[in-house]
Amino acid sequence: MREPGQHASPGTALWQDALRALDLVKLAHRHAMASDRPSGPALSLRIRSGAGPVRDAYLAILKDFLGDRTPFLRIPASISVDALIGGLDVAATLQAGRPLSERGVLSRATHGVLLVPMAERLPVAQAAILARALDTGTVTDRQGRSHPAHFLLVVLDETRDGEEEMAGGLTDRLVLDICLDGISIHDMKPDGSACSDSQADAASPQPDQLPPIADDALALLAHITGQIADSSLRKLSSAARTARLLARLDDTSEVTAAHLQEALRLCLRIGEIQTTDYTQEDDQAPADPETGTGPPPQSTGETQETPDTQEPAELSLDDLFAEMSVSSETASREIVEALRNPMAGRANAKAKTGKSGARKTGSARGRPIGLTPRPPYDSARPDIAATLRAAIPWQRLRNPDLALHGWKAGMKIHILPSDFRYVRYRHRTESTAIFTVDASGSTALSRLAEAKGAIELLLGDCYVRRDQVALVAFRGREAEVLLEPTRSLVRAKRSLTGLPGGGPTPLANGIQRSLELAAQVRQRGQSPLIVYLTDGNANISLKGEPNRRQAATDARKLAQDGAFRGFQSVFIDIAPRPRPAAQELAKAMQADYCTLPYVSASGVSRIVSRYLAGRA
Amino acid sequence: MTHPFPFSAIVGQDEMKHALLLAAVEPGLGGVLVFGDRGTGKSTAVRALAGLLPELSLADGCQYNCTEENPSPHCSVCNGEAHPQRSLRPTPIVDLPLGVTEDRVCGALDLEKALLSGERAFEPGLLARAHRGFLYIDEVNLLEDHLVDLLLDVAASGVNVVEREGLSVRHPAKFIMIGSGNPEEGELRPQLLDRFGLSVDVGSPDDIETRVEVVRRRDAYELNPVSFHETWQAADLEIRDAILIAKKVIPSVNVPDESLRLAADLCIRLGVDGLRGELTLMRAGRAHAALDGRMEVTVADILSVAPMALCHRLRRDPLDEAGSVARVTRVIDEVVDQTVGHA
Repeated sequence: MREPGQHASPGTALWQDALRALDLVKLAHRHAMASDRPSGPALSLRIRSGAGPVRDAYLAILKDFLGDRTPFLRIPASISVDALIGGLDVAATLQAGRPLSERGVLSRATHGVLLVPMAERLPVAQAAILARALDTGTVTDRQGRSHPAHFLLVVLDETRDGEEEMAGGLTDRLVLDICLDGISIHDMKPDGSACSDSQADAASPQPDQLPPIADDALALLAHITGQIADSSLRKLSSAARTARLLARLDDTSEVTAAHLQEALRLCLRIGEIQTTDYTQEDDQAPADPETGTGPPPQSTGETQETPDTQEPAELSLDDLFAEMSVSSETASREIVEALRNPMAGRANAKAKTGKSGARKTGSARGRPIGLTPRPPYDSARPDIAATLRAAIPWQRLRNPDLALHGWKAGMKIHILPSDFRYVRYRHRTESTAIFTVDASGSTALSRLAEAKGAIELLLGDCYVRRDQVALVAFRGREAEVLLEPTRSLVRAKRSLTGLPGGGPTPLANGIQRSLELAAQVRQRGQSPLIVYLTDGNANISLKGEPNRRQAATDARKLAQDGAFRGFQSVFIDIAPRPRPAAQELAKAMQADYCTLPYVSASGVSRIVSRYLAGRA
Repeated sequence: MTHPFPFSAIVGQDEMKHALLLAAVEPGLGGVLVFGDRGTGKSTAVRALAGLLPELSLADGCQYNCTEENPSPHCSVCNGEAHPQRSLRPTPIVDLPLGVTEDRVCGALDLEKALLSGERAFEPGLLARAHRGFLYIDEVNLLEDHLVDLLLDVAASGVNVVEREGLSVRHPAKFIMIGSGNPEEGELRPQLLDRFGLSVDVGSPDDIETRVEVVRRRDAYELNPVSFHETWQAADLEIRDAILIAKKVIPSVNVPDESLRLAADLCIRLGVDGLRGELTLMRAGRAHAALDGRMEVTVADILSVAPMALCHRLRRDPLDEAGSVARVTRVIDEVVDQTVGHA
């Protein structure tokens, strides 16, 4: 059992946690191998980290663990639904002259590992299929046949702060959740494997006999997971299971408080060491090379004392309860904070956004706009007439009979994969209206209330158009995203209660935030529409200094930048007496300018609706 | 998958379980919509239904789930010369995955046959497989619009019409639609919302004992599905018998005028458009009485199904902070007060 506090650096502690997760994976894998029927859902692992040597090394250890015979499949981030579930292999079928189906990746990964890189880019449909496979252990192919799909899912989550997130249905089902960011290459020990082979062997492969978890321990877990917002029962279930696996790994007869603590850290990241907080601890690092490498002494089972003598202090359930309640509160506060402030740390977003992010794959519906030899979207079906038309000119070359004797009834047409023609469609893309609201000054409260009303009205009738709405408010020294792009009225209502208002006007900040958000929206393949609700009277510069002239220059520069990047915007002037400066600003951002001296929710919603509906 | 989690072993969530049973008893109800947090047993409950439903007599090799007396005109097996072998099989519960394409849902030209033998044959889709059974759409709020339209049309008419690729096919597709989703990820179009007969909101249980019990049972199930199934089999069979009996008696359950008047009164007070609200109330009340083994729908039956039958039909007011369930219960209280006052 390892305590995070006893290590030299937080990076090492994180690395130890990560290795511990691997030990669990190994144990679960052995269990799965030992029994002919898989017991319970397979373990799954979410690795939060950017690409880098640490992650590569980690995956290499995982691969070594499992050996060569275990399937280890890495799927491309842009995998099609067909490739996941399997179906008719058209090329092979044509070649063989009889229907041949190919096995999907999910069924091929059975008893092995399925690695999903860049999971945050995985489309909802593919995530839903993965989630279902995790639930049922089976996958249904295109022909409706069911195949076993019992695999260890390893998800590489490269989400940065505030960028798009993985599909919720999938994240909820993942069991272990570790983070490799903040581990430097020096933190990794060469003899990384904490769990020797012999130890895992000693932990006899009897999956039915995991150490039990006591009722009060389970109640404690339930309490702690219940504290976290949006925590579902699945998380509780996976924490309980992890704690039991940990106890098995340590060969104790019962789940102890330390196991619970570790399980919470590995599954829910509660009580994880913050790499940034690392300041002292130098004096008490014992640098014990044997930490956890040897099997702990056998416990006889009549006590729940932790046998590990290196434990700094014995944890009781009550201590843990107090400690964990606090840390789960901080955790939830951090989550809330992260939700409120998703753009933190994205200063250089501008450099990498542009038209390239707005790529749109072919659409499966809409107006047909022409033919293409390549499938425009997953599982597109060839257009029969166009395919035949493409194939017929080649028949003389492909069929010698035809060249010699001419066409006869009953002759077969030779069609090659290159003849396939598909219909391309185009449809209107989804829009996201980003409201950028001036929350400064004395009229802030009523203006915000009306903006809020407008958002709710728009959401109230946006299901048909599938539009989304976001809200950026600026006041005081900074701008913040109060509502991330959402289609959900429920969520909007919750985040819009109690908006703050008043103070000076950091207009440039507001524009910058909105542009960043718009770039994000475009990266997701939707078209952003920025709606500014302000009088255009900036008095705080981008740096946060009260300097009216600098503030105006900053705002104009950013406005031009937005126009240059092609974001469509609407400028609603809400000043009682509109001034030419605001009009100029609107011109700089190439926005449509309208005045609305008496802001009303229905007025704003009407204007924005017109823009959203009018886009082709 | 051979043993789904037993229905009777699901802890709590009584409203959801109740709604699913009502829908199973009365196919005319128009399905159930389950909206709520993640990990509340939505999918588990739907998959568990499979263990409760009576078996259907199906012809071997038939892809349309035809009935014996009225086979689908396109089914080559049931319309063939030879009398097909029929056997009892579980009621189909068909999963409609999110990434599904239109031709997979409603069926399309059989490309294999078209390319290999030049034959123009129809390959039935998921709707044909769901005929006489259930169609389960997880994350229904994320489903593509054009699919939603298609489902709406088929669910309302009970017939799947395919006009594409030179095919003209119509075959019966009567199924009970069950949708689930998380409202935080997106709303459902009101048109689709209205088509579901019943709608229930589910939430994670708050008290620790319930949460612990859920995890305990789940764990026991995962450890040994077979023995867990045996433990709960008796309870499941009891529910199954109740469904069977209810299905049998439901045509003769009597709905007195008093109950109908109450249903109409509720709908008028809540401003529910159209008559679908009253019809659903009546059918749900009848199913409720039949499940209870009574032959007459009482006022209490109507009141107990009113929240799930009406709360999704209220005209949505985006600026109203209180949920629609609260509005329904308020009106129910009013009505109850009045009837008590009159008596």
